[in-house]
Amino acid sequence: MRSVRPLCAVGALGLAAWAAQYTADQLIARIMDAQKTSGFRTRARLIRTSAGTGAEEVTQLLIKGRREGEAAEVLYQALWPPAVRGQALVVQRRPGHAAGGFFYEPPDSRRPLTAELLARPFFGSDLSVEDLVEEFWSWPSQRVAGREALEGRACYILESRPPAGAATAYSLVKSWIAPDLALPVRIEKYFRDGRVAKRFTAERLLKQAGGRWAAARVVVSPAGGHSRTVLEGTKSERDLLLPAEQFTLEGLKNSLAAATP
Amino acid sequence: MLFLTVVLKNLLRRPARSLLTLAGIAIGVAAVVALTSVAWGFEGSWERAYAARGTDLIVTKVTSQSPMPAPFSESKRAELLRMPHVRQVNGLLSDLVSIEESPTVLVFGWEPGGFLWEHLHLVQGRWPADEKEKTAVLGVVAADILKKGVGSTVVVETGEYTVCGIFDSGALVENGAVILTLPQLQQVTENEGKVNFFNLRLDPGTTPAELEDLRAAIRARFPGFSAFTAGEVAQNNSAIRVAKAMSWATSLLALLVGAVGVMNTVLMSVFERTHEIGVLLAIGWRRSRIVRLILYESMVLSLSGGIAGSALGFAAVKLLQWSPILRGKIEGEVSPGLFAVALSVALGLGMLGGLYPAYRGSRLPPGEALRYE
Amino acid sequence: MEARGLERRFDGGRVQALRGADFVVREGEFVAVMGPSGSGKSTLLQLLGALDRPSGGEVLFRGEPLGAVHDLAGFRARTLGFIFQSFHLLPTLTAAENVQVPMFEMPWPPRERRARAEALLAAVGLGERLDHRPATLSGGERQRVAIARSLANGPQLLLADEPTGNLDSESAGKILDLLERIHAERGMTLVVVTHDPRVAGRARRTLRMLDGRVVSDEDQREGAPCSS
Ligand SMILES: Nc1ncnc2c1ncn2[C@@H]1O[C@H](COP(=O)(O)OP(=O)(O)OP(=O)(O)O)[C@@H](O)[C@H]1O
Ligand SMILES: [Mg+2]
Repeated sequence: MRSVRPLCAVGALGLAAWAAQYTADQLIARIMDAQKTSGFRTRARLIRTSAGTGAEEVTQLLIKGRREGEAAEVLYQALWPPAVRGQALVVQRRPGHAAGGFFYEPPDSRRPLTAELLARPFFGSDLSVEDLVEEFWSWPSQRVAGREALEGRACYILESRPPAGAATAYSLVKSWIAPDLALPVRIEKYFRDGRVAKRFTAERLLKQAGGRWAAARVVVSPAGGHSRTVLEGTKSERDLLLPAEQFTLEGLKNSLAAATP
Repeated sequence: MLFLTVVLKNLLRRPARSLLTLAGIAIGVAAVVALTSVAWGFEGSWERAYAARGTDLIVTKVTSQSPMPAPFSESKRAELLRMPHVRQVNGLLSDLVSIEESPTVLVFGWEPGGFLWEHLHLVQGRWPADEKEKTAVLGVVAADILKKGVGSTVVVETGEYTVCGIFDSGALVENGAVILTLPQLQQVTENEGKVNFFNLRLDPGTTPAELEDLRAAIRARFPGFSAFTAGEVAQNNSAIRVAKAMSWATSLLALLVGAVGVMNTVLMSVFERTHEIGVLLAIGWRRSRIVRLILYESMVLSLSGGIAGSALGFAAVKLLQWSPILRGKIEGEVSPGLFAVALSVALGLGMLGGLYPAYRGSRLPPGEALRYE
Repeated sequence: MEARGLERRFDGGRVQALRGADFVVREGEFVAVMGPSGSGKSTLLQLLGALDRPSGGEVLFRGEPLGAVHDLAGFRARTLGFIFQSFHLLPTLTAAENVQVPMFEMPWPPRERRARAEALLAAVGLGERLDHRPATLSGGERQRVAIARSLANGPQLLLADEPTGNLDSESAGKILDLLERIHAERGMTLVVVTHDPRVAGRARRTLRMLDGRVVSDEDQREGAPCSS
């Protein structure tokens, strides 16, 4: 009789472990589901710190998104400093299509997202425009490469590889996904030659009103360690209904004109 | 020689240990002083702001989580004005915004021509001319933090504003703020037609009973809303509530650690002096005097810790006030009352920590204690 | 002062320190208590000083059993003076302060306490050493401070446990002179436990102890044994 209890415990553990097995598709679906909202508005600060001088450059950002059916648009607009004020990146996604969009520069320049633009740094930070546009989780090759605990949190390591001929600087993206948070807590992007290009770390994980988890800070550390960038959310609203007009060239022009003395 | 001399000399016998214990208490008391003074100061600052505005009642949506109540439709203004004793209603929008390089700044949108402006004292420049003008006025502290003067531009969210004036208010919360006209802030935060507070002025001579009736009527008419008096609104602010709860929890913990430290030190010194206590009993000291000796020792220890801790705490508050993140947001209240509280807390700690050692010390049988070497 | 069938057992009866000691000490007497180590001398002194309770028998002071005294601490403070072999001064206090320690039990203001302490220290020849701490005094001086302290509240009975045990013979002699002088001047009862035959030589009476009993009681001055 004595041995029955430990046996049961082992059995239950095994069962729990088995039940918690996720496939790559399930992991991605979990994240996508958790992030789904009709519209959101986030205020954030992008802070780039040079390792050598310790000098900080702050960019104030407004990030807005809206979803209509399966199509989604996200707008990243610089509010400050004055040199970049009003500039905005608009990313448009439709299922079955590569991500599109444009870069807006006041007063009325609209540039398509060319390969050259994608490779450019995003408002002088360690993020590239591609980092905000390219959705590696929709690449065809996704596999769970293992599991690892990060800061005591059980994570799945997801490996995403781009299809041949894709317009991306990366050859592999590894995400450490905590399934219970439905959130990647670390992402590493690799160059074509296999070197780590940059690492993204989610910090200040906070449980939001609806039980959803979000990271209030993302730290971007590029290879070489000469600098790092922190994207820090200061305020966020969800489930908004934002007019489509705000994501167009006309809308951007109008709002800027209205907001300037 | 005074009895206190014996007490003091006993404490000085092991200066390092006494000092360490004293430091332990000082840190505990400093935590209490700093946290409470900030919590009180914050509350006091809001109270002063509301009193200066001449606001009798604040109507807002009850929130549990965010530090700022959610915006709601301005349309309730007309209805509020029709309620008994309500004389004036000013809507306002307030928000914490990260401006330029500074982490967060309080931004107000006030109705042009409303009574809220009346209590501000213009130091420089002028007030916004009308609601169409893209201008902002800055409190003296905000101007200092943001490094702005009259004529410079300040970017609030998507909007760019020319600073047209610098003002001084009696209250730090307002001095650390940026004020736009209500329509401008509504537009730039995409809250058109919305406010998150109403400030009400009532008829002079409204009695407390009538005030209570009015509050009940407002709650009944607008479910989910609450009407606070100036003193209560800060108490009901979730951020202040959290800060206070945290300050209590931290203080309690710090004090507990302090009390255990005192107890440990005094108990150790009692054990070390077992023999000496036997001698004191042999030469005629009463047990009650032994109790007093040990209690006094622990109380002197904790009282000096309390004094050092209060000084440390006030210094910490001053430091906090000038830290970049909190500058212009907190105002420590350094009151004699708090000092008294801190000292009585320390004294209480000493009593608590000394009671058991004193009991142990006084229970020693004198003969036995004498043999003990 | 009288001891009647005094017994004291320790460790649940396994150690019998006193096995029925009987004697009488008259007021104003100078009595030496001698005996080999472990014969129960210190135990006896503690019982006489009400620092310990007897397991059997009783101690009477002026006819009243100590067991019936209500305020033993007050009795010790006002009536008794203790002198120990190793002085037992408080190391942090000066000589004058040490002498004042017992005075807290008396209703005297600080100024009077200080004045009395100075007078007592002068009386034991330490008028120049008032503000010295024990560590800066010699053994003999320390014992003199201890004697001054034992006299602080004007005791009627002085109990000394090997007061010269830790001193060289010269200092011991001076301490004995001092005790003798104090006894003569102040007329209190003096009981001295000692191994030193010279002490016994100065006492009027010597009680000899062996195995927890008083085995002899001799009155030197009169040269005749005194039965108790
Ligand atoms: N508290 C105690 N617990 C146990 N035994 C004790 C205690 N006090 C005294 N004794 C024992 O009682 C006996 C008498 O002790 P006491 O100290 O009275 O002897 P003494 O005559 O003073 O010896 P000495 O000359 O060495 O000081 C000794 O055997 C001692 O071990
Ligand atoms: Mg002895």
